[in-house]
Amino acid sequence: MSRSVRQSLNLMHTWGGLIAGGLIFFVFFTGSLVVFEQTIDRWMMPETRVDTSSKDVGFEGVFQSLQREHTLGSGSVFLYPPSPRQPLYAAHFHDADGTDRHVFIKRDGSPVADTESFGASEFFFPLHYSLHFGAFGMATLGYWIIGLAGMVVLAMVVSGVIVHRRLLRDLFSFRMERSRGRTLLDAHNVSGVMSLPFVIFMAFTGVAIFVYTYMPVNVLASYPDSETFFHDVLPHVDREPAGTPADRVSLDAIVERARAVWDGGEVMVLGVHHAGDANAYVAAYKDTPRQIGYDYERLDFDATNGELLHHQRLGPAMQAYQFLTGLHIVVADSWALRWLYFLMGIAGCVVIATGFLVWLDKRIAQSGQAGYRLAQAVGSASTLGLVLATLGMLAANRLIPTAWDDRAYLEVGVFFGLWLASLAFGWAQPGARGLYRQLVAVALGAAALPVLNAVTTGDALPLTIARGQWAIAGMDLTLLATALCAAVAARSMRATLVRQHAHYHAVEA
Amino acid sequence: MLLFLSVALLITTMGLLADADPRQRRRRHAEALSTTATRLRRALALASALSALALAATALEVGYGAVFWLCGLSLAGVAAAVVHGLWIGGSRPR
Repeated sequence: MSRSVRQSLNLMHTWGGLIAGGLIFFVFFTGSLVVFEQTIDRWMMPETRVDTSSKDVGFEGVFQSLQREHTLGSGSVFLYPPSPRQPLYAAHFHDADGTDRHVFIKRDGSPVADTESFGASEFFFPLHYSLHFGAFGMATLGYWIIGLAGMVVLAMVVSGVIVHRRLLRDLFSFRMERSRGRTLLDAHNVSGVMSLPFVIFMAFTGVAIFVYTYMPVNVLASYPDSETFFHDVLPHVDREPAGTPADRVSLDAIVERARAVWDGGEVMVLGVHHAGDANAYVAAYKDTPRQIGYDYERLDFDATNGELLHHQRLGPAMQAYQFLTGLHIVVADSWALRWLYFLMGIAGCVVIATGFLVWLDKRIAQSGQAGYRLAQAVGSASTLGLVLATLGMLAANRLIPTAWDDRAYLEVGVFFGLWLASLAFGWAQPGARGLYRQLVAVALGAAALPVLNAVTTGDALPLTIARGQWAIAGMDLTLLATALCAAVAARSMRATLVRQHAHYHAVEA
Repeated sequence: MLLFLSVALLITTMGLLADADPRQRRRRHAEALSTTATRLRRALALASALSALALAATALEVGYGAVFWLCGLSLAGVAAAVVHGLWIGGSRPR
């Protein structure tokens, strides 16, 4: 390979990483959180930390409970059964006035008080793939921005591999005894090379999930519109209400039939469409906890007599697509695999953060320039600032009373407010001192959250461990581990500050 | 249980590879390994990695087992590099 090509790629790697690094860190960080979205939900929604030993009334009992407690609209109701990560039923529907509702129901059919929080599944998950642009009617723009980040990741990986000449020889090189710059570059290389396979398949599958958004022309060349296309590749019953009332068979009987068709498979979601109408039907989606391919073999039943109307079979192309989707969103019922996804995502964050620090260290002589200051402010806000904003949101969740109006939006406001404040702080306090103070804030914030949780809910860490509430205990332990890591990093940053101080005085003298 | 065993084997794999790495040995001022000892370590690492893959594929579904193995191997590699760095770097003045 000629020298100039490598130099060009090095230039692209450096500046591409600097410009898109913040967005890539954001995608990795929020993706890592989303791996444990339901666990974070349990922490943020104490109302859903329920006893799992109560009698299970089944789908029918839960649906009747919903009809008693809410004025259901004429559309669809989606019911999610309890799972190891979510100990109670969940329902998604539209009220009679059209309001979008997500509610929880205990196994015995009794309702759960409104959680008044978006939790991770309604905040961090959409944030991860659409930046919440959907709230402003611009979801597609959000998909495009995130897709661009995925493409930049792939470009950074390829250029990084070519730029790094001694990839295999340096595989285990992490030279703590050398200069700070060398150690940081080693940390960047080790975490980058080791997480290479994970980063490649996550970036590729992440882009592939929204392939229709990015490349609609292929589809629109053969189909009049996207709806026809999706109906063709995902065939299912889709009928309008007849307008005449009719009785409905028990949902539990339909679930039993679905299990028989799937040869023992369990229901992941049950969609009840136009309940009470003569054209009502029920869609059952199969849980796929032990396979990557997200093939849920949708079954459509006539709700009035329980007759199977349609069994969805995916074609090879759709199976390949669902395999890529399943690989990205890890539907497997395995804690070990989830932890690996989480840790590899954090390794991706380490690659970006150390890359930023290497860039800043190399240009320390230009630290007085506005461009350097801006790069540092954006770099610190998009890494440490994002972590601080997340911790702040969790603290707001524990401190703002549930009775307050729009509490869920206040939590979101705290998240974005802290994030912006971190950007302003990074600008006002550049250099190692600013980073040190933000690291101390992360350490203190993360250490305080388990205490806040114990004080506000009574679920102290020793108690949750003793009761086997591993979702809550795991969250508290992860926060404490975060505090420890931030404290160690702050100590290292303080040593840098002391060295810089000594150097400054030596030069002055 | 099988997954824990698989993780242990993955750590062993990367530990053996790091130990057989000539650059790491030079950094420790340790005597260079003989070619036979280096090859033996690498062969054991390969056997360990394959066993870990078999165990992961048994404990999970084959596809997820492979993903678990790939991610586990990567993390074990990071751990081996950091432990080596701390071990060597911690014993030398900066």
